[in-house]
Amino acid sequence: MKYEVVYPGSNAMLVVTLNKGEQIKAEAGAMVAISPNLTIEGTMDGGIGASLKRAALGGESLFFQIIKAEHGPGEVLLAPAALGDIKLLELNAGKDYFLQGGAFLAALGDIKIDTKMQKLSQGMFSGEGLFVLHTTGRGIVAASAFGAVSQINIMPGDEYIVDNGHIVAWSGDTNYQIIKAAKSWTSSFTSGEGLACRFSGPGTVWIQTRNPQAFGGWLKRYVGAGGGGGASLSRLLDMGT
Amino acid sequence: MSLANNCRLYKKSSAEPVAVIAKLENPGLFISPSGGGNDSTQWLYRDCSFDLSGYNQSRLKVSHNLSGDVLIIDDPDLIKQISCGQSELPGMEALTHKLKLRPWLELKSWLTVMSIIIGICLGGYLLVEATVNASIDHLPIAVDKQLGESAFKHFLKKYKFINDDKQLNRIRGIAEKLSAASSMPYKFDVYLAKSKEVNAFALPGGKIIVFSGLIKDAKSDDEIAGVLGHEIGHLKKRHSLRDLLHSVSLLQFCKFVFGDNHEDVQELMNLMLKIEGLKYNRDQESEADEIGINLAKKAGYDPNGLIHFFQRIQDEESNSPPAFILSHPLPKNRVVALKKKLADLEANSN
Repeated sequence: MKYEVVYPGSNAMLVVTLNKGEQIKAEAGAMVAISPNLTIEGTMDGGIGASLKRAALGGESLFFQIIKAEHGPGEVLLAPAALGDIKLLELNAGKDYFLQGGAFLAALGDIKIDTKMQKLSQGMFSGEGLFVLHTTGRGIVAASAFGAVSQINIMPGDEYIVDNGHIVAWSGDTNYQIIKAAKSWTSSFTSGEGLACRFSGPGTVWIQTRNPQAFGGWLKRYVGAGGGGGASLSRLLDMGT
Repeated sequence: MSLANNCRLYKKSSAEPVAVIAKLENPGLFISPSGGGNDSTQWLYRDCSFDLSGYNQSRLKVSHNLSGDVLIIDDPDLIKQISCGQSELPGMEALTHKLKLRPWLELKSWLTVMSIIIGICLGGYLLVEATVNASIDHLPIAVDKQLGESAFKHFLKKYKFINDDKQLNRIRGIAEKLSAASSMPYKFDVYLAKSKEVNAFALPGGKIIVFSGLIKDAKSDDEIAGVLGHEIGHLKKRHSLRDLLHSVSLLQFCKFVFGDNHEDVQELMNLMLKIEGLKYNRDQESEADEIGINLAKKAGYDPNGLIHFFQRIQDEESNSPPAFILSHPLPKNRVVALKKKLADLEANSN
């Protein structure tokens, strides 16, 4: 299997070349183009319970797609919905990664994806949601970000503070806690930074250079709010005997 | 006791781990590369400090004070062996206590989250119902009439209306008797539409449309009175408006709680709302059935008419789909419920 991120930056795309018999797992709807001899199957990875948990709680799709090279080698192009870069994270040697909801793009190799619940305080305030994706196994995890991806290596004994809307993924050995970004609660909120995550080494954190929620807020100032769901006539008419 | 397991070693100046095997060799840990080699080392417990790290603080972080290196252990058995065997080390007692509490804290978190979710859903549902009930009486009948008019335009396009005086006078005569018994604040307009369908509709605001198929199928005025009484039941309880308010309020509540920017969650939510909406409709139908037999009885008709009507539909249906996907209760269930209601009515009148 070969893989490469092409057009790195805001329009990044993952190109995976599969040998006959190989397969990969990808986020539903991520396929851009595919060789005709590759097949796509929708799957509820881990069963309906795990899929519902992943979709409803982890911010991912209900279905994954399994792309298989059953009939011969081929190529598949994958891209996330939002503008941003793709980071390839290598899993081996008992390592594991946590991904914020929505950051999963593809898993190349023997990789298990699960949803884990964070501590209540972390889940409520970290910005990643109460549930995060946990990846284990051997292979490559492709994570998508909003904007560019920056890798922060935290040495043993060191710490690093990240604004909670900018986290993409972090290594499983890293410890983190929620803190106020500024010295006092008042200045923490008046500075516009609010809450942040303090990561303790050793480990690695990948951050995105843009905050999707902040971008959404900025966009809302220029775009009118959409209309709500209207009442349907068919429901009104469904009142027979 | 010796226990070896795969762990990760972080050198002082590295954030990238090396896979190692850690083995308990009192008074310390013997650490060797997992792929083999001579680069082994021994850490004495007295030179180490211990802390919890990683996901929900489930991993043991052993910091070697002399070298600055860090070992991360995530195997629960190895963690237990170290924490229980070295309880005299500084800070180890507190750490063991934290580890013992961890499963309980995780369970507590799950229970808290589930309770919050169930509480919000249940509370929200009750709030929606209370809001609908409180607001419906404050909405003027003009709202019903406006809704009914827009639906009636649809009927005008779809069906041909029959102006046969004999048949119209028959059903309008029954409707008038029922109207007098119903103490409704407005009059009904009864129409006869040409269709083989055995059905009738009540549009909000007072328009009742009876299909010619129903008149043909009905064996007596009592049966027609039961059906018309059922339709008046819908109007009396303002079911269309109530259903509309209920579905819109519940949809807005669900969007508020679960968000509306995730396609799969949205689809799941719509499915749940659809199933809930069908249940809501079935309850309304059952309520209209009860009002129907009450009105028929009050107006001097045999209340068994509606029961006979549903019994015949029941006999004609060979295979019934599952009740939960239907907007109306199954005829056999309606017959059972109506017989019980009628028995109660007769017991009360005696």
